[in-house]
Amino acid sequence: MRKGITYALGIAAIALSLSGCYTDKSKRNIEYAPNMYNSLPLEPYSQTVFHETNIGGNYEGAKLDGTSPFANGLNAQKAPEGTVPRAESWYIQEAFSPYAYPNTPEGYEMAGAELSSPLNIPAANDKGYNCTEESFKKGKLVYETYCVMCHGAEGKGNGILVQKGVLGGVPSYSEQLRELSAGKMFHTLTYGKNTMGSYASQITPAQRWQVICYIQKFQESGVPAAAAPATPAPAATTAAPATK
Amino acid sequence: MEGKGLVRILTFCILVAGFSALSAQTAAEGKALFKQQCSSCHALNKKIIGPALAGVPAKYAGDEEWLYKWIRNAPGLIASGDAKAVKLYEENGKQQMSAFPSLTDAQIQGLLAYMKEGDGPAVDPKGPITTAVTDPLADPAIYYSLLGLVGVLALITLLLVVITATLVTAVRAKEQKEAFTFADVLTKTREILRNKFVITAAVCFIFVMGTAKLIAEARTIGLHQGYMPTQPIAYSHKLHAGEYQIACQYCHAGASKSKSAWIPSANVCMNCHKAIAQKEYPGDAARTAQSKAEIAKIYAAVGWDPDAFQYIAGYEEKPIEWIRIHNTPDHAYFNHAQHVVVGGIECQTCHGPIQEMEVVYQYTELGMGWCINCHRNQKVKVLGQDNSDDLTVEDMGGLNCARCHY
Repeated sequence: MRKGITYALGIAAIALSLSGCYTDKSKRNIEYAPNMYNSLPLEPYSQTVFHETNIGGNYEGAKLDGTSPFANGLNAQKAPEGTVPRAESWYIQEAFSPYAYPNTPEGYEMAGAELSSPLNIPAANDKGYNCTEESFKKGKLVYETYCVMCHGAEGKGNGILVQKGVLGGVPSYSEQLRELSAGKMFHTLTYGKNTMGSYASQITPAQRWQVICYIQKFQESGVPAAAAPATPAPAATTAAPATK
Repeated sequence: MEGKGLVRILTFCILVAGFSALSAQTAAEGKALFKQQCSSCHALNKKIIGPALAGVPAKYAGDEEWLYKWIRNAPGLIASGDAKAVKLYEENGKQQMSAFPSLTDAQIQGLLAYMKEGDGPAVDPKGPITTAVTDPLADPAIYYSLLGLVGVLALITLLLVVITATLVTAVRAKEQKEAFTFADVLTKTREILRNKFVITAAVCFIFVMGTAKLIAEARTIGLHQGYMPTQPIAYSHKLHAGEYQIACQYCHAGASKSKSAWIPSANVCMNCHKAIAQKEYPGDAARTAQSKAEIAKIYAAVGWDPDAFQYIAGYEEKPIEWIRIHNTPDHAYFNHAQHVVVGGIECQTCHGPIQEMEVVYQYTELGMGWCINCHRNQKVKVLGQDNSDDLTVEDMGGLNCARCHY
């Protein structure tokens, strides 16, 4: 009987002591045999030197003197200048050749004049767009992930960030950007323009052409820009007397 | 001659009066238009992409004709070799202004009126915002009410004991027995505690409960459910993913492309924060200032000068050291793209209500039992088949050891 009491109390005591283990949620829980948890090859976003918040860190990758093979201790390093990604087998020609147009106004015009979508099919399909329906659908997904919060679901430049007054000045595809060519769009997605940043790190070249295919649908449904007055001269005269 | 002059002066006066009456209204319209059309490149009192525009109406007073032409078609004017246009183009770092051919005269008038009058004194449209406490456990009231409840229970117990004691005493007095003393109570208690059955029951109870608790606690070793570290920047998913409805994959673009979902590099932040240097909390200057300080940390990382609106040349970039929260151990392979693209799993299934989290924490346990549960229950949609609803991950070999452990 004595033994039974001792065992029961012992188990209860261990259980109680463990239940106090993970209360400070700003730190990670205890681990049993962390050697099995941590990767010897470098995991994404791990560090090559000891860091208290590091998970899956490979400290054995550090040099003998404790320093890291990388100057800042991170395994995520910037790719060397001129690196070309070689993914996307269907796009292999372009994947191995860097984007040829420089990030200048001249490059923008050149891209606009020379670049055209590799997705284009000879004649518009029965739904009225110039690429396959699959590309159009994929482009819609890309648009709804990366573009919709500024450019709006209808492409009118009234996304939720504009509606909430956080950002402004987003042009509409059916008005100001109605005449924008596919090549200029690709150039802008690659480098950014004005306040819009570069999307090269988020959207692959293939996805860029897909989303351009989707955006061109907005342009087709817009009002022609030619509807605006061609000569501003009479306008100026009406405003002039008031300020003179 | 005099008559003609009078008419001229009168016309002028009427026009001036009419214009100033109109201008308050047109300035408001101009402000709306300015936000919509111009504000991605221009501000009134600050250079952004293009120059500050507050002084423009005064600068071009008397030269409206040219200004209207410029606003409607700046690239055309530059290309035509107009001396003034070329000079302006070169003065502003050869940044070409887009053409706005569809602006009407009234709209340009409104824009100019707004540039002249400015924003006026800042008006607080909503009044101070009260921040609601969302976490019920952070509210001290709940602990007070719990304490009160315990107190009430203790009082009831005491009352019952007193009543029982009184009744027992009364009964014994009636039966002519001697009164119940404290010593009697002790003897009785000792008898109960020495009872073999009571002792066995108690030991069994403690043993079973203790073992259950021990197993439950031991199972959490190596699991980090609830892990909520303090990040280097007080980034709010509640604001970005909740209020502004920015898609998860906007920043975590890798979720559909690779094993890792990607922590966004700072250039992704800068896609918006080039233009957004702080969040306005009307009536709460401290919070506004805090948001500015937090966003300034991105600028410090990438070397962005918000006043000059450009990157500092030759700046040594410093990575933002975000603290990783979710991790599957090395011996279990997890791939985001597989689950997001092929499986069509929502981010929230594993990461919880991220769009409501001010600070992100690990929502699910990410243990093996949790993985297996989902693989047993999750239905898989097969492309080109409608009646595939009954197929689970398990049916496709999703429980094989080597599916994850290799």
